[in-house]
This record gives sequence, C-alpha cells and structure tokens, in this order.
Amino acid sequence: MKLSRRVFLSGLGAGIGAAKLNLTLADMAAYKGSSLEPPPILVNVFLRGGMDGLSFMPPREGDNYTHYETLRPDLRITPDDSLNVGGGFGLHPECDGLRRLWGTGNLGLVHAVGHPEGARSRSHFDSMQYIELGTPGDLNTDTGWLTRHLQTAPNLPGVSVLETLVSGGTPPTSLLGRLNNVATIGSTSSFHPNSGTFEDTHLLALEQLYSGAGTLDQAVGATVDAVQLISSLDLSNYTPGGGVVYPNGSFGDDLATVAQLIREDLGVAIATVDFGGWDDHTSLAGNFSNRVRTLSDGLEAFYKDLRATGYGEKVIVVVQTEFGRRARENADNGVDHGSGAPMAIIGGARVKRRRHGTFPGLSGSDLLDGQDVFPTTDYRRVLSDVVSDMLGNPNVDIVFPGFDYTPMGIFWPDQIFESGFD
Amino acid sequence: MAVSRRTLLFGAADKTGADNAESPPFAVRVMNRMAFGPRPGVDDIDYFNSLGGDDLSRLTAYVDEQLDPLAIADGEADTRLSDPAFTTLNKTLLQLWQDHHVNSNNDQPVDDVERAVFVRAVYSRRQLLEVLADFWHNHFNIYARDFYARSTWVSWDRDVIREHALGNFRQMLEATAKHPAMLYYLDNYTSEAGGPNENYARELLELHTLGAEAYFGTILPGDVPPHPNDPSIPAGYVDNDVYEVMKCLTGWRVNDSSSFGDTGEFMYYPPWHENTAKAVMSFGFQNIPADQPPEKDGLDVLDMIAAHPATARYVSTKLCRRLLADDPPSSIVDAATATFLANTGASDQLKQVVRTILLSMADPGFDALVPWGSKLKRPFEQVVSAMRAVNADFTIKPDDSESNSFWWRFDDAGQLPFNHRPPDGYPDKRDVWQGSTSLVHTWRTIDWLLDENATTGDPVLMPVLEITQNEFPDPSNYTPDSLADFWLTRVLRFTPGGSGTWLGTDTHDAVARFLAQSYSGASNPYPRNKVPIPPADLASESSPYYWHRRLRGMVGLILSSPNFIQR
Repeated sequence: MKLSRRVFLSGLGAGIGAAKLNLTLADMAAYKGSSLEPPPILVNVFLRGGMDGLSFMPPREGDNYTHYETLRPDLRITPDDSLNVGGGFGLHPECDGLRRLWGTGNLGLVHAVGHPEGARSRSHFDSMQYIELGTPGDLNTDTGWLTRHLQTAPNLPGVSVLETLVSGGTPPTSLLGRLNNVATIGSTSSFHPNSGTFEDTHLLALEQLYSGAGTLDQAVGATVDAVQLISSLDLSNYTPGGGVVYPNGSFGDDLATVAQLIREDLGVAIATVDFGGWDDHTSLAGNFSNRVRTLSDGLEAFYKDLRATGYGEKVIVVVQTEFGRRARENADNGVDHGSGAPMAIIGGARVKRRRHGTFPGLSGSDLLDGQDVFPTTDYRRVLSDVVSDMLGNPNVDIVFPGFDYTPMGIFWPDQIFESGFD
Repeated sequence: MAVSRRTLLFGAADKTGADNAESPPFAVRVMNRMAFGPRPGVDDIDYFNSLGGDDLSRLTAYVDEQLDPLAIADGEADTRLSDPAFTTLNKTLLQLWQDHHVNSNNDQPVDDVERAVFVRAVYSRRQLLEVLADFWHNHFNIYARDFYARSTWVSWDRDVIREHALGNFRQMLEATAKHPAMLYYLDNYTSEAGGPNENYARELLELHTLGAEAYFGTILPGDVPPHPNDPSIPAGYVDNDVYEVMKCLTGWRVNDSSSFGDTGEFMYYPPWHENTAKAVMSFGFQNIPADQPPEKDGLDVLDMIAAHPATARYVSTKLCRRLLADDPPSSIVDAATATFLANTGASDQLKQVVRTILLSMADPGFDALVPWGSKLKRPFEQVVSAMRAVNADFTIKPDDSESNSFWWRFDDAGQLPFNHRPPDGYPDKRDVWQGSTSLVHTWRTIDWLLDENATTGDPVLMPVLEITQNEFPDPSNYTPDSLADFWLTRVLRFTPGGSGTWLGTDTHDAVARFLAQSYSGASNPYPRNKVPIPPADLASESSPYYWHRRLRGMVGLILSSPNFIQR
C-alpha cells in the first residue's frame, strides 16, 4: 500500500509550510530504524479552568499550615491525609500515582508558578492565551510558544511522519500559526470520512479538491494523512506497557492514544493534552478529589506505559494550569480565581526530584493583594528550562520574546547523565 | 517598509482558505451567511432573486422579511416539531421545574431542544432567527446539562434566547441574569452578602457585555482611563468592579426552596443582599447608594453595562464575526456599533444592528473587504447545510434510534448544541474547526446520512438517487461527467462564472474521477467519464460497479468540497 504522506520540514530557515512527499510503509519502517537521536517528546498537559494549587500540593506544617487552616477551614487537607513530599508539603490524598512517581525520582514539582506583574488577570481566557502565546500581556501575538519552538529547534529530525499531535478535538493556542499542519486525534474509532468500498479513492479525491496552497488545503492534507495513519494502526487493540491501566474517561483515553502513537515512532515532537473542569467555585472537595485522582492515575499510567516500553528517557511531561485559586475559601465550599499554582514535570533520570522554586507563604502580607498565593516563578522560566535543557533548543529568546531568562536548573545536565552510570 | 524580524525568519503567512473555491453569485453568498444555505425548491435562490431588480433591493427585501420571523409561515418545521417524541417544548418554566426538577430529575428538556434546533435549522424558513439563536446561545453560553439548566432548558431557549434575539440587549441581559439556568451555571444563585460568589459577575463583564478588551486588570478604579467618546465613564472595568458588581447582585437567586414555593423562578432575597454603597465603573466614587429598593442595585448595573460603548463594540464585533468574517472589517463593525448605541432604548435594537451588518453585503467594495470563503462552516453548519442541499427527510428527535445513531457520530465532531462547558461558547474562528477531528467526524456524519437505509428498503434520509432520477434531464446520458456536473450545480446552486457547466474545472475533475474510478474487483470494462451508465444500473448496490454507492460517495465529496464548506 502506498501512503501519501505530508511531511513536515522543521528547523530554522525551513519556514512555515509542508512539503508533500510520498512515504511508503517501508519508509516509515526505515524512519523507525533511523539512527537520528531526536530530543525528548514534549507532552504538554493543560489543566483548564484554574487548578487549586493548595488542594494539589497543600502545606503540612509550620506557619504555612497554620495560615492554611485559617484560610481553608472547611477545604483544608490535613497532614494526616496528604502524601508527604518533604519540605513541609504533601500531595492531595488521591495522588498516590504521582506520589509513586516522586518515589522513583520521576517527578519534579514547582511551587507557585504564575504570570509576571502587569499580566496578571483573573480571566481564564486571557490567562490561558498569555501562557500559550508565551507573551504575557499581549494577546496579539500570531504564533504560539510551541510553534516558535518547532520553528527554531535545531535538532528536530528533518522529516517526520507526525510532528505534532493534539489529542482531543481542539488545537491549543500554543500551536497558533501551525494549526493547519497539526493532526488532531480524538475519537479515533471509525476515523474515516467514507469507509468501505471506496475509502482510498475518497481520500484521493479530497486531496485533489484541496490541492492548493491555502490554510484549508493544508489542513485537509494533514487530515488525510491523519486518516491514513489511524487506519494503518491498530488503535482499538492497544496493550499498554508495564501492565498499566489508564483511568476511564477522555483524559485517560487521550493519554493512551498519545502513548500509542509515541510508541509507533512517527517522529512526534510535541503532543498536547487538555484536561478541563478545574473551575471549582463551588463544592470543591469531592469534585477536585475525583478529578485529581484521574489526573494522577492517568499520568502514572502514561509514564509507566512508556517507561516499560523503552521511552522513559524519551518523553518529558509538563503539567500546568492558567492560574491557581484564591487562598481563602469562599462561602460555597469553593475557591475563586487566584494566581500562583504548582507545575509538575514528569520524566526520566534528568528530572530533579525536587520542589523547585519558592513557596511564598500564606500570611496576609505574603499573599498577593492579600488574597492569592503569590506567583514566585514566571511560567516562562519553567518552560524555558524545558526548551533549552531538555529539548535542546537554545532559542529561548525567540520562543519567549522579551523574557529575561535565568535558568532554574529543573533538570540535571545532559553530560552528567551521559557520562554517568550505565 | 520595514520588514520585521519575524517575517524574515518565518516567511509570509499562508493564504487563508482553499484555492479551489469559485465565488458564487450574490444570492448564494447571502443565503450561506444569513441562513444555513439554500434548500433547493423550498428556500432557494430563485426566491431571493425574485425579490427585486438589483442586489440591494433583493437583499433589503430578504433581510427585512427574515427580520420579521413571526410573519413567515413555518408549517414544515412546526409539523415536524409536533412529533409526539417532543414532550416538553410547550411547557412553561413553572411546569418544567415541577415536572423535571421537583417531581423527577431529568434531562428531557435538553434532549428535546438539542434535537429541535437541528429540525429548525434544516426545515424552518425563519433561517436568520435560527442563525441568531445559535449565536446568542453561544454568547450567553450555558452547559445545558448543568443542574438547574437541564430541567429548564426549554424555557432558556424559548423565553430568553429566542424571545430577545431580535429585541433589546438590555432586556435580554436581564432575562439571562434572572433565569435559573444562568443563576445556577455561574453560581450567582448562592451568592449572598456573607459569602459572595464572583463567578457570574466576572463573566457578566468579560463575556456577556464589555468584553475582555475592556478589562484593565487589577489596577485601581481611579487609574482606568476615561472612555475616548465619553470621558464621564471609564473605558473599561477592573477587578474591583467585578467585586462591586458581585455585591450588587447578591440575593439574586432561584426560588428553589419549599419554604418559598419552589417554583424555579427568579427570586430577589433581601436577607442575602449586600446593602452597603458601591462604586461600579465610576473611577472609584460610590455611585450605587446604600439600601436601595429590591433588585435596584443589580438593575442599575445592567443599565450601566448594557449601554456602555465597549459593550456595543464587543457585541457588534461578535455578530459581524458570526455573520461575515473571522476578522470583520472595522468599517462594518463601526457601523454596527453606532446602530447599537443609537438604539439602546429601542425594543428592536438588535434587529437594527443585524440589519446594518447584513445590508453591508450590498455595499460596493464589500467583496474586497470580506472575500467569499472568509468563514469555514463549523460542524453544525456543515451538517445542516448538507441536509438542506440534498433535501433530507429526517426529523432528528429524542428517543429515536436513527436519531441517536446520528447523534453519536455528530458528537465526535465536537460541536453538539449546548454542550460547551466553559462559559465562552464554541469558538467562531476557522483555525479551531479545521483540525482533523472536526473535519473527519463532520464528513463521516454526512456520509452516514447519505448511506443510511440506502440498501435496506426503508426510507432514505438523503434522497440522492430519487433526485437524480427525477431531476436529471436525460436518463440516457448518465455519464460520470454529466452526473458530476449535475450534482455540483444541484448542491452548490451555481456554475462558475454563470457558464452553465462545471466541466473543465478542477473540482469537476476530482469528483467525476471518483465516480468513474476503476474498481479492482471488476473484470468488466473500466467505467469511462463519457460512457453512459445504463439507467437501471444507477440504483445498483452490487459488484462490479456499485453505481449507487459511487453516486452517494460523489455527493459526499461535493458536500465536503471547498466550495461547500466555506462561506
């Protein structure tokens, strides 16, 4: 079978756009066996709605806990319940999976990440855009930060079958400017516009109808590729590695699909996964518990699946949200929009198992405007560490224009790892 | 001209849209923008063209007719909606609450409305009202299966959205603010002086009225610049305004307790109201006195924000985006904004705004400002306009297995009505909808509509064969070339440049080639583009040629072509 594939040209100077090549299944097999050692695959998990950091990683002792008890009389998580990660902090009691990843050294946490002064907004939509565009305070940027990374990374393979993978239906703003070249893969069963007798010729006719150079032409080209790709894989009979079981629901399904496609060695550089519903203005306790269990179980399954199949050092998972919530609970057993919230990084031996950054404290004067967990780390700093240290792209000044980047040291240097134990 | 670094690095932006998209005549363009496309023989371009001697007079007559929807007889939609499967559409708010919240607890009102909107979009002749109802549902977005929304959804759709879609924005805003669906969805139903909840107040300002562009963040109210057109008011709002508006709206709740009668209606509850003086969008000066009469604080807020120029601009921009282009030209937005502001007290304010926007289509220069194809049809519009183009006979209704089969497929395309959970409504820009998931599952839904019952003898949903047999001029000339030409013209309602044929275009070549493709299972002669298909074989669903299957597949391709899925 001849597969007509859209092939993405990456790297500085290659420009936007896709070149159409014809790859066969043999080419794909050759690609899998190539000696190229690409950078790890970035899996960007975005928790939409504003995740409550003080429920995700609550304080357990000292002044922080005393203030926390006062701010959260009904919603607080006690030291007996939270799962100790040291330094006076714990994870939510439903985060057994993440706690195990912490135990094996595969999890790094960052305290109180947020937006820089001047770009702090309580709007979900502005806050998400600022992060995904990578330009705080400026919504008019025409490319997302992931797009700029892909455009400038010097070490991506020149040819890949599937450069960027968006699980679910909607491409994120972080890929703005490249959306028409992105395969969104959701609901993969029956993924064909006319399956049956004439399915191959239907795709050929679509390619002919959309043979121009417009954005929709490119989008349909990428769509035809995605259909052929999904058709060529046996997605419904996936056996995760390590005997793991993904949690029920779309988040687990999305992660399983991403893991499966990563394991196909198609040259994926970026995958994005959205997990919504974190806007807990009311009745946080039960809702958050269920959601964070799904998050924790899903991330653990995803990482263990990939580790068991030899990809443990080849992926880096970055978990973030648009903002944290108010330090003080409201009258409806919920919390309103706030500022600083933790980030989580999951990966192999280069992830430093630490609580990075600084927890700002919870006394009245510690809080931003007396209300929010003060954001002590700019999200761009965390992402810049990922881009430069893990993804090997030195062009942080283009990925995050105007950002005065000082490395955080979230990852062990590559050399130590390479020359170290083996 | 200076070339920015970005341009040098990354090259010029791609051309939007698709190259193979011929611009259709005025009538087709109009009916794809303010309606869900033509419906041949029923809601067709012939009718539009009969309305006057030139584009402007035809457009004016059509727009004014559509802006008076109750005067348009709507028998077919009414008949289909009188199907006994729809059980809640005529219930009042009180009945809905009693039947679906108090005495039982179910989603039947959502099931009914979500399917009724398909029936109306396909079969109602009040097309503009359907387009606008969809717009306002998304502007005041609610996830319909939220607790108080699910029992009262019929009322939200009928008494709030449709009642005010062509009315006055201030009145509409109050209707949304006082409906149990909204009060619950954005948590105001529980907001009281001792424990206020800011969720509704924030989205009221950011999404319903002033818009995020008018949000000045956390600066002090006194630091907000004055509005350029009216220095007596601030240009926008800050966080403090959110809190002050929140206080004004404390005690706006739902009668959801048996001690008050448990009617499900809006209720102002004085014990929960914050009675202190407030400063709302007033540079920090208190402009809402303490201890006002019931509801007055909140009504003052609605008066203020509904008349604010930022609201006029934000709402007008969104309407232009829905009707015309993802990035609508500022001249048309300006005109719509002016109409909005000049009619703030008028009972037909929104009708006037829509009229201004739609009549701009006849302006000289409009086509240069808003090229054909500026919008990509979203999944709902693609499916509905496909059903119209092929004269589908399918009442999508609750508790019906065929409708459910449709529903499961359409769900995967990502735009089920009333199913968007965040309060911002489904996105209205093409980037979001040209992902492979949306495209494939939309096309697969249309493919299912074309195929369903084609081989069982039960009534088909999309009568492709019947239309071909009844309307194709000469059955002895069923060649792939002429059938492709026939169906391109039948679906798209025009021929390029009025030439009378699609022959010779890339579009025709692609779909005719599909129809005439060789099939490896056949030892019989290959089909040829110009060799007629025996009339009796056109209905064949079997080897070697499967002509009926090819025909349906070709129509599916035309319905997914650049000419059809853009507007």
